[in-house]
Amino acid sequence: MLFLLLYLDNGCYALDASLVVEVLPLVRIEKPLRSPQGVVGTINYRRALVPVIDLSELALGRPAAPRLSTRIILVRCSEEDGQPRLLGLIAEKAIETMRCQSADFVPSGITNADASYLGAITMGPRGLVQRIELNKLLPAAVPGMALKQSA
Amino acid sequence: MMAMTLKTRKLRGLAAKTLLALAAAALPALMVATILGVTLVTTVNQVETDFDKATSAARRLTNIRVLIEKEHGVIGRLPSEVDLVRVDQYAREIEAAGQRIEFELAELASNKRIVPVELGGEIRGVRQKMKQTASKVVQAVKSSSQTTARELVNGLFEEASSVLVVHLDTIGLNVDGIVDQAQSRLRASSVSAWRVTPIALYGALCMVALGVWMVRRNVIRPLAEIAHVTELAAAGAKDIHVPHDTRQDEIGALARSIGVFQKAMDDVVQLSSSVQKAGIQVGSAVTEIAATAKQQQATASEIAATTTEIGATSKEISATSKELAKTMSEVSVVAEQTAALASSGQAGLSRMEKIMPQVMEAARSINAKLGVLNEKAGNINQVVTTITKVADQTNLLSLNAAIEAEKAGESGRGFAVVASEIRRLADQTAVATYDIEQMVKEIQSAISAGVMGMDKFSEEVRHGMHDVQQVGGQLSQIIQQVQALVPRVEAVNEGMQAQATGAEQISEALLQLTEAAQQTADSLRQSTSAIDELNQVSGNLRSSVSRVKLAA
Repeated sequence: MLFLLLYLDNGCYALDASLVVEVLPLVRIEKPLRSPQGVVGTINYRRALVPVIDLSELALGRPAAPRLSTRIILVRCSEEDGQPRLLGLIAEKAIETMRCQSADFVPSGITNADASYLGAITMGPRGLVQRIELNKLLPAAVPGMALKQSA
Repeated sequence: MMAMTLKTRKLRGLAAKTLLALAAAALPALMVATILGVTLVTTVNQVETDFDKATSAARRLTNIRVLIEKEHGVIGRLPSEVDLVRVDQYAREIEAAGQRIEFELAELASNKRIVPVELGGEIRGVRQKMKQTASKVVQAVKSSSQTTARELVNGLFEEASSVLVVHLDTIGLNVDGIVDQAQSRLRASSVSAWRVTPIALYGALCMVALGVWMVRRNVIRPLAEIAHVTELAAAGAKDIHVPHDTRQDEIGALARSIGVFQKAMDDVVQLSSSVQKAGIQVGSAVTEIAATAKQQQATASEIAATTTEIGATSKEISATSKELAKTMSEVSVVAEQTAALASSGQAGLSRMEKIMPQVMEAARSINAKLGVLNEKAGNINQVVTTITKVADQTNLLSLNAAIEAEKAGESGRGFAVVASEIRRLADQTAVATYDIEQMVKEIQSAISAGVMGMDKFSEEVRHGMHDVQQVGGQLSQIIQQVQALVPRVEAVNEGMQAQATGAEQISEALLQLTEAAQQTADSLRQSTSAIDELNQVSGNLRSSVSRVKLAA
């Protein structure tokens, strides 16, 4: 399995690449007047407006640093009504992939109630890597949005 | 002073009186004596004259006799002479003797008592005959007729000469007669004198006695009275009347003047008492003066001491002035050296000043070049940014490619490899660009540091130039002041020399002052001794005045 690696401060986190539609550079984010909570803005992806969530904001409380390595990861998620929806995740240092098995991830043993989307850990090329459970992320981030994981 | 002179107009004087008396007494005797004397003198004179005449006549007679003898001798030799030359000589001798005889005879004949007229004429005739005979003899001898000559000589000549001798004897008798006459006259006058003299003497004696009596009455007795009175006055008697003070002659004048002296003596005695009092006052005043003179002496020696001190001080001043003058000259030398150093410093500064703009120019050019470098670095930065963007895009592309390849499954595996390779390339590029970026940042920071440094350097250079200008200005001020110093130093030098000269003048003046003070001291000593003398004199005065009082 391919995982896309991203960083939150010094911690490395992995995201399932099958969920990723495309990795985009940090394009212009339009901030609408009213947006659902947790949504920092929208981007224009191929003539479609896609909401964008800032993972750093979500997890660390600070916005993501505007760097070339900071990218918008477009993920496909499905809502309650089953329609696939695109979602943009601003992640820092999203520049490499990792190939490993799902079974390599072992549970961390620490459960964080605030960040329940942070799951099992494994050894990456540069240290510990924690897996991000996208389906758990969304409800926490955007109440009212559910994500159906497509394998 | 009363002088007894015969020139007093008043014939009533004592001298005139006495003279009158004496004259009256002496005149008759004088007259008799005069007549006697005159007679005697006349007689004696006459006798003297007669004697003289007789003596000279006798002498002449002797001469004539000698000459006649000589003539006779020569004539006698003539006939027996053969040498004509000798004959001429004899003739001349006879001629000469004849002339002398005639001369003597003429002289004799001038006195008619000795040679009467008749006798004189006869003698002349005889001489004539003798002369004629003599010349005939000469002729006869010259014409060698000796016999004739001899005859003439023995005949005519002998006759004439014997007549002449007789006449000469007559003359001699006349002379004797004169002498006898004179002698008898002399004898007569001496006899008469013998008779008259005693009478005259006796008469004179009477007259003298008369004169003495008169003198005694008029002169000696009054004088003795006056002398007695004067002695009394000298012994101290007061209010004594001097006798004979009304007489109009010298004695009267003497008496009156003695009276005046007497009064004056009384005044003198009065004066002496007041003089004594004055003498005491003088004594006390002299003591005061002596004390003052001693004080002055002390003051004079003090002055001398003070002037010596001042002299020493002025010498010190002089020495100090000389030292100062030396120091001033040293200062002047140093000032000149300073001026020289300052000018050399100024030269250096002006050189620096010239260089500064070049340095500034160089700094500016460096700055410009650094700016260029900065620009280039910026350009590099831009390029690096571009490259980074490209790398980023490549990375992105590779990521997306890997994701798509994963989605493609088996068939996408090769693509996934390519994608990973591309990603590695992108990473390398990113790393390289990161390195480049770092380097460029370093370059830029270095450049900015360099620019800052250059700016600082420029600032420093500007400051330095400003300082140089300031220092240059200060140096020129120093030079000016040092140059202004030189004339001042010279003025000080002159002042020093003037001071030294003044001190020397002070020393000289003090020497003079010291001399003057010494002179003052000497004069004071002299005055002190004079005061002592004065003291002595006043003491003497007092004692002599007291003596006068005692006598009075």
